[in-house]
Amino acid sequence: MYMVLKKELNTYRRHMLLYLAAAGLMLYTGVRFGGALFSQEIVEIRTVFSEIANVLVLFIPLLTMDSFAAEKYLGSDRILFSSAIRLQSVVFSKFLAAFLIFAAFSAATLLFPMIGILLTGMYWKEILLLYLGVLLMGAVVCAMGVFISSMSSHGFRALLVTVAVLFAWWMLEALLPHMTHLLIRHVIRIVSVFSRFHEFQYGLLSYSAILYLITCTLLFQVGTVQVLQIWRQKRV
Amino acid sequence: MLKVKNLSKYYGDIAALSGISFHIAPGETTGIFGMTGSGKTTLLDILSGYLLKYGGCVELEGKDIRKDAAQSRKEIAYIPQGGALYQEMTVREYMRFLCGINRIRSAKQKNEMKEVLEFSGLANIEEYPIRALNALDQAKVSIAAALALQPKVLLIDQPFHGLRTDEAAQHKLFLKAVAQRTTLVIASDTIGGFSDLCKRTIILNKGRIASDRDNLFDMPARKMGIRLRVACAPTQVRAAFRFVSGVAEMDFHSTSETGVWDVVVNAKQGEDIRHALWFAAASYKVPVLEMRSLHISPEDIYLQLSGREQEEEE
Repeated sequence: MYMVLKKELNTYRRHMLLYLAAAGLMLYTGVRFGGALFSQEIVEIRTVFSEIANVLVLFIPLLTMDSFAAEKYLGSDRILFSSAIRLQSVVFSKFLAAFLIFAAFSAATLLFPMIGILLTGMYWKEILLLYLGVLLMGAVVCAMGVFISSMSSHGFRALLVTVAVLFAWWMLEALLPHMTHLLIRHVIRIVSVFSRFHEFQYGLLSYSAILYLITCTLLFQVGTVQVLQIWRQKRV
Repeated sequence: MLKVKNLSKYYGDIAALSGISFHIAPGETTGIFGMTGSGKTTLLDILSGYLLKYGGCVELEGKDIRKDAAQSRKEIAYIPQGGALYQEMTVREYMRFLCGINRIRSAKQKNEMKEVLEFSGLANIEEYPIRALNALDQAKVSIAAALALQPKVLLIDQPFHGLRTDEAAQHKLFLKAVAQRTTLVIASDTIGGFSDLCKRTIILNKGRIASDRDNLFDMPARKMGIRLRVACAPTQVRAAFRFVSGVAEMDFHSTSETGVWDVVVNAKQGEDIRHALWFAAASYKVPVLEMRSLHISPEDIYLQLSGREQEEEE
């Protein structure tokens, strides 16, 4: 497992686009937090966090697009899946590599809330909960990105589909308050990952939300293993 | 060592492999040949443990490779077509990666890697990124990395894929050296270049074994008849050869020269009619411009068995 994880992290290390994305993210969070902290007007800090969480999540398709699509395209999946390492370990390693990079991105944005704590006395417990929410939501999206990548042989296609699914989730989230039908509202609540994040956003440590997000992450990984099993059996 | 029993693999209703059985002895170099779609890659996918759902059984030293998957995957190394190398890694990184995912202990790995790098002539470029190497060196890297696992069986799909003629010739020498170290199974859609490498040849045609024999390449070319180029009318040739007892049939083909014909004379089984034809032609004053025996080569046999000839005719 360690070798696949190391290989994936090295691939990210050589990914020029990620450095640009990281620089862009730091600039954006700097401007947003700076604006929020030093503005004369009253700014809802939760809204700023929500925006940054969304921007962070948007980077995930970039991380996961090539997870399996590139292996399939190159034909190296034959080497990976005929080696002594278990398929489950390969899937988990690829997920973990993407998640670690996402976590590193998220950690980099912590710099600004820290300044906020020092300058304005923001509540650190709430901030930690917000970041826990970001990490758990990121884990689900990472697992989903890897899952989508396992269904394609083209990284760019996987990227587009992952972004499309994210937008669909956001759309559902935006439409939720306008839904009058109770059953539809209930179903949307069940499938909406982002609504679970709001619980953390409001400073609530919700064990059900934690359990839900971890379950989603695991389900996507199980799904990835299944997709790859089926794919290699059907591969001509 | 490697025993394949009644192997079959279906993609929907289409049989990619059907009733495949053979046994490969330790140290043997086997070529699996067949045209595109004949089932070569599917067969290697099964032997390597990449494909798990199939009918029949594959045994390595008496153990079903599905039952002891982790161990047998360590012992059977697989190089897919084109090598499937991670271009951004260095040679050493790739070898270490392959050893790592096959759970080869690092102390053992270190010694083996050093020895294999020297054996492959890659020791001086071990820190180079793979993408910077030429096609021949990349092909060597994939084999060297597989050898570092000390496999009992090494499977290579299309070893000359992407190589120029001169590179393929060099690579063949390397493969001959590799064949001294392990049991080698090679799949290819052409048999050219494998004559002094593969003692055993298995020819697949539409997922079935069309031929499994030793020394196909050492087989003497079988006489198929005699071709003459004559500068006279076919009637004169027929008249000249009608009393030659060994002649079975004659075919005439016009040539680009006026009045010049190619005659293919097929002899009756086992008869050598060259002398008789020559004397008959001389006595009937048939001007023979050229005369040579026609042979069937291993390539012809392969084309016939693999179904390519039939496909070309269609």
